[in-house]
Amino acid sequence: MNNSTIVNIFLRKIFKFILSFILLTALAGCSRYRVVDQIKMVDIMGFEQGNNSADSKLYGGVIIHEYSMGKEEDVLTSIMSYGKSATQTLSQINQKSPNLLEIGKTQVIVLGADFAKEQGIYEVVHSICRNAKIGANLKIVISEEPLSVFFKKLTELDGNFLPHLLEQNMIHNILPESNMQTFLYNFYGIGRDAYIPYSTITREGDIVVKKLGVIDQNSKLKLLLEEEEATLIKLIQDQSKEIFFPVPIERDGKEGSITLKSLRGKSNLKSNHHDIVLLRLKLDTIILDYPEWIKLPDDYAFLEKEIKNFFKKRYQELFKKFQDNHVDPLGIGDIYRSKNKNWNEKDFYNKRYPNLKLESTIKIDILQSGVGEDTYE
Amino acid sequence: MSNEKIKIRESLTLSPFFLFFLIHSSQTGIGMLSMQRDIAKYAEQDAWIGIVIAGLYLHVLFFMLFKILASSNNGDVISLHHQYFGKIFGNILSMVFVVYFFLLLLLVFRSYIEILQIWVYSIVAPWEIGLVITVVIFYIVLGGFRVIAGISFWSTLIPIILVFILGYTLKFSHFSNLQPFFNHNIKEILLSSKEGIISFVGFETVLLFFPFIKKGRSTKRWAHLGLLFTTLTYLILTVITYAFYNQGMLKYIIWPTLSMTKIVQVPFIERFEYIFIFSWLLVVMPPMCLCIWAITRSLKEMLNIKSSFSLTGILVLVNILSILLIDRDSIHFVKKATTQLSIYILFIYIPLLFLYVIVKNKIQSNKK
Repeated sequence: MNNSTIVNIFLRKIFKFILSFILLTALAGCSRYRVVDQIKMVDIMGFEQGNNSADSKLYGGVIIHEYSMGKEEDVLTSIMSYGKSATQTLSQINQKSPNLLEIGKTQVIVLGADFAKEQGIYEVVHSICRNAKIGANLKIVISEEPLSVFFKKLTELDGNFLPHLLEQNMIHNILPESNMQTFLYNFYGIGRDAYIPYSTITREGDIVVKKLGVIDQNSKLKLLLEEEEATLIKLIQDQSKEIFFPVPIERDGKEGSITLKSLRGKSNLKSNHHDIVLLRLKLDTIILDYPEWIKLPDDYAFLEKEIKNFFKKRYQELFKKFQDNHVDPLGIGDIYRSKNKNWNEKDFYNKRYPNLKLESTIKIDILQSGVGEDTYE
Repeated sequence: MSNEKIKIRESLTLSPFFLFFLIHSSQTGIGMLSMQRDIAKYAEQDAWIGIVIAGLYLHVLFFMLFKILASSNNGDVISLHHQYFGKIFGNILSMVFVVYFFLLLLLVFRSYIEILQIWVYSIVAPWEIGLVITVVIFYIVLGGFRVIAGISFWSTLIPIILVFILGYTLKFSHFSNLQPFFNHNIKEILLSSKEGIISFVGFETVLLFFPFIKKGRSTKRWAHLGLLFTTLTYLILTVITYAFYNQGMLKYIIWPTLSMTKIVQVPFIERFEYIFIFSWLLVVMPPMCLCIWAITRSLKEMLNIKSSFSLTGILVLVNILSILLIDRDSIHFVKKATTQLSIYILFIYIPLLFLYVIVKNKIQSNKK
């Protein structure tokens, strides 16, 4: 009994000693705090081709919020620098900043179009995605303009402009949804190629993101898809199919165009075991604008047929374009991989992919045509 | 060799129900964060079969373990070694287990610090983080076996956070990644099993804490249920991971479970993974505490060393060694050594011991 009390007292002493030691360490730990006023949080980060010299292979920049200015509205500044690699460029940029840059809150990564076309994006992606601080929800975008021009435009705008622009366009508009996770999934995945939204500045000076850049096997920007083609990809890939779509129609020599709004739908891409890719698409739609020679509701059947043929033709052309350019943003290779035990990436893309045929089954339901009608029922 | 059984005081024992939590939480730990990638090295998308095979084998092993423990005087492995191999040789064999538990402890301890270092505190020295964890372990183990069992209970509930995360990943999941099924030969699948077995170990501490569980008809059933729960958790986690990452991407991701939590987006928490990493401390705590407890218990039984002294000693040693393991390579070396030792113990030693005990018991009963 006596013995155990001594042990107990001894243990308590040890415990107190260690506890005080820990508290001291914890106090020492306070010397490494990072006050939010004294760091700069990067909102947007960008990379493009630098000079020819090895030390400045890359040109990069960041856009940061200046919170400490004491002003009501956001003040954005951009810092640019050259560097050997992505990380090295960031550290070069950091040298030009009075405060430490923290990249944990980065919302968009911008890649230069020429850089993506000529040098390829592998090294930048590989170095960025291995950083634990980079989130999975951030967006990637390719910029047609040089980084300095694009960043100058962005600093004139609201701080969240670009991320919100991309997000809005992905949820309610034509862009297929993509973020770091889906991009890396397509980029590293076998039997699929990645696509990245492509931004341009219009003559009026607005930033628009309508096109889609497709990255090929060599991590280079190979193909640029126009607005309509981007939408066609979105209809296959995304859950949300909430888009506007102009469809040209023709009857008895009269030509016109209707505006289709799709509300919801289902899509499915499959392979039969032969060389045919099966696309199934079902859309619930509303007709918004239509020419005067269309009489609704009598012409619903005619319109459904026209829309169906239109989609069929467009998907055929799009698939042909992918085959001609040797890219596979739809992940057709992956579909074949999951069905064949002896699938080989090289063989598939060299021999089989160019000979595949796309067969589409499209079902269009026109639910209504806005609030007005032409005739009494 | 004395034949009288030393009884553990009734107030110190736990109801068999706790065996479920003890077994499960002694297995889950650091392995659960990176296992999916390690096993995919050989059987790729078929690696989940490896998990099932490993789980099934361990059920057989559990059967052997409880048979072995049933013929031990005190109900633990040390008295069993004394009974069958004599004092000196028995102690040497038990010492192997002590080394094994120590390696497991070191591996979990250092790996968790590594994760904290890489994901959160890149500039904080590892010994500082280690010291904080040490104090918590010291406090828990000092509280005795019942406190460890309590922590185990909570560490079983915490991974339920995972359930919510699965919901977020489903949007980005492609279950066709798991196809084509059975595209790898048996050898590759078994190699994946071998690679995955390290995530299942830790339950061997049952060889020492079994006397602390009240004996009843359902005792073994709870243990098997605990193991089944672990296997199912790993299986679901692996399937979800392979749907979320394709094999091409998985190569580049060292901690798939942690990286998966990055996709979680909550309006008031920008980066969910940090919450996840810290709550994982509760999950890695029971394996560490059980290992230390098992070591101190063995040393007390074998060499009569006071547990408080051995506890302090082991914690000091673990801290020193974890400082010496500077980089990922050295941690990997410890992991390899531990995996090798665990394979010897699980696949060779315990089955042999089981056969030996069975045969010897038969001979003795025939003599009588």
